[in-house]
Amino acid sequence: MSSLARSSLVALALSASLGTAVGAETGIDVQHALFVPNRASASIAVIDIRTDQVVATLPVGNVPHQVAVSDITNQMVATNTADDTITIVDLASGASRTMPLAHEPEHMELGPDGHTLAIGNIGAGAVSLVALPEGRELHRVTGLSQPHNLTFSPDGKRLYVANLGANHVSVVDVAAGRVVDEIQVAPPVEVASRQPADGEYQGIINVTRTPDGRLGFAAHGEGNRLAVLDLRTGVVKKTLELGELPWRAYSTADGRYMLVPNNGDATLSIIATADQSVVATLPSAEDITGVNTGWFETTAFALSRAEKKAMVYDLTSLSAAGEIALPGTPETGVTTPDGTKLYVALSDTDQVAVIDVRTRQLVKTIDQVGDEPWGVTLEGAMNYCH
Amino acid sequence: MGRHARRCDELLPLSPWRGAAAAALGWAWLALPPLPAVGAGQAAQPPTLHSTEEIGRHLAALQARCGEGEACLRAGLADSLPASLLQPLPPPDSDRIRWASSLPSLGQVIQLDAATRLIALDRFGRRVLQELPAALPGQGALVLDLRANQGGDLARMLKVAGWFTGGIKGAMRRAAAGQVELLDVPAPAGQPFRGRLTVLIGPATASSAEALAALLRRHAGAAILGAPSAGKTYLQTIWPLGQAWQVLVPTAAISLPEAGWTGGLRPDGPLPPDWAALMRPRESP
Repeated sequence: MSSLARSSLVALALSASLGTAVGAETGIDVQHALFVPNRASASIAVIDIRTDQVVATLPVGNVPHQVAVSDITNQMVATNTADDTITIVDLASGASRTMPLAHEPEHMELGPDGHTLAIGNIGAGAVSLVALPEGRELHRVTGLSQPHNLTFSPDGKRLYVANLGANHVSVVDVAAGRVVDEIQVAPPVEVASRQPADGEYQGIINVTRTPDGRLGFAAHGEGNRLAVLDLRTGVVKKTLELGELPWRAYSTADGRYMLVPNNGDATLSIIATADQSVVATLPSAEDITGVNTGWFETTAFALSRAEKKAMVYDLTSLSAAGEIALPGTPETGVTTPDGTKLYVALSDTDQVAVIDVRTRQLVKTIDQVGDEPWGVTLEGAMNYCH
Repeated sequence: MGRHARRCDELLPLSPWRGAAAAALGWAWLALPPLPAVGAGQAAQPPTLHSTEEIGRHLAALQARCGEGEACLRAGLADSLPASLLQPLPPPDSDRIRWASSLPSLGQVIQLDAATRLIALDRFGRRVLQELPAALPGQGALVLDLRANQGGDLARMLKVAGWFTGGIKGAMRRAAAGQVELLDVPAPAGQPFRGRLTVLIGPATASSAEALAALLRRHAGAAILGAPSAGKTYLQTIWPLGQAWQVLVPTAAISLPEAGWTGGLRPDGPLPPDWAALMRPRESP
């Protein structure tokens, strides 16, 4: 390990090594590690979910936005949005390296092989395809319109790019590194204005796949609609009218429902994936930045950034089931793979909230996580970013 | 239309409150017929409307050929569309994308007197349906200032109109490619404002803001004061061209079923000087 890489371990606070796949030098157990990017302190906090204690702090570049973790290569990657780079950390040794990409790398998606990482450079209209074992950018796919979230097909051969600035999903051939199709999700938007370019255009945030990979659900904000895509044929199978400015679809772990917050009118649409119909539209809250589910997929939580709370929904009765006040501004959350605990990053109080999914209660906060925690990532869980 | 020609919307009867208010306040001009003012946009000819299918094919081919090269895009557009329709896209803003920040729709909100509130509705922003109902007075009179409103999302404007008119079937007319469609004003999520309503317009008031003023005159008995509006009577379809550019293609004409606002919507009278003194200067077009 180089001295430079060694220096990146200065801030590492080690815990006792427990379980398997524990980093020999870092002590980070990737199976039980929650990664929290701290936007304002250029670091990633690592929390052991068995103890809910911060066990390490990894320095990265400026304004880290999202973390991706591969248990295949035992690496963690952070997008450093302000530096136009990513930091790749070997979780065993703690060695890190920085790779320059295009302008404003933000969102990432790890391919099913655990080796291929797709990174959206939202400011450049480009997606980088990186081979993690070699630490090399294989392709840079250009000509996209504010690429937001990215979704791999189950076999990893296709990448679906949600274009926030447009009305279509771009389909990328991963091996060839080029766009091979564009799926029109909505017709072009009409405006009655002299000044339409105000920076609030909301095209497509995400393509949310069913677990079997057959269908993709792509909400189109400006169109107040959601398109159901047949991912085998690349055609729009169905279009659903939703509420005002739908954000994106979040799948339950069992793939039974898609939950879509409509941020324009503060409602939540619940869509049954079996027949792709809206089965409930429930009151929600302002500025929902994420939806998580758990406890045998009986419960959903919608995180309201503006109102600092989690709306609770009962997925058995498809009804609202109260709300949980949060001590800070929620950004995104992640549920443990067993569905029992929900972690939520609170950006203005530098905390991570822990919610017991079964009892639907806030049970603790993890304090002093870092400056402006922006998200949470857990290997093997249903991670997302905003 | 000649300078002194009358349009249908001028011939609508004055709302009952205008006569009463004029008498009570001594504003004789409020009870007069509308001034024969000329709209700010009268000199401009309405643009040619294009078929979205035809333009879509053309722009897709253009993007394939040019990528994001501005010179190539402008040259390629020149034979079919005015180059001014090509506009740069604002760079993505992380906080705005995540709704951590939004542009406010309301500008100034003040009490003009004990019974009259003024709300400057400057935009039809994404939070307008939360901001506006929260600012509406429960009773009394309201002055809705649209003088800085250059228009925006038509569907959202119709929802705004519903807060003053209630639901209306076939309230607006949209014409494109030889087909005419009537658009409804949806019923609002709460109790509409039913007090006295005055709408302020000016040369910057454009497109869906003009439509809102016309709807409120027609269906909510609003008096319209100020100066003639811009006279933008068409919708534009946004065609994103990659990361950096968009083309705004005129594709449909809009009007009320009874009348439009070609040449600009004409007010019923000027802005009262004592109100003007209370207000911040408004944006010029």
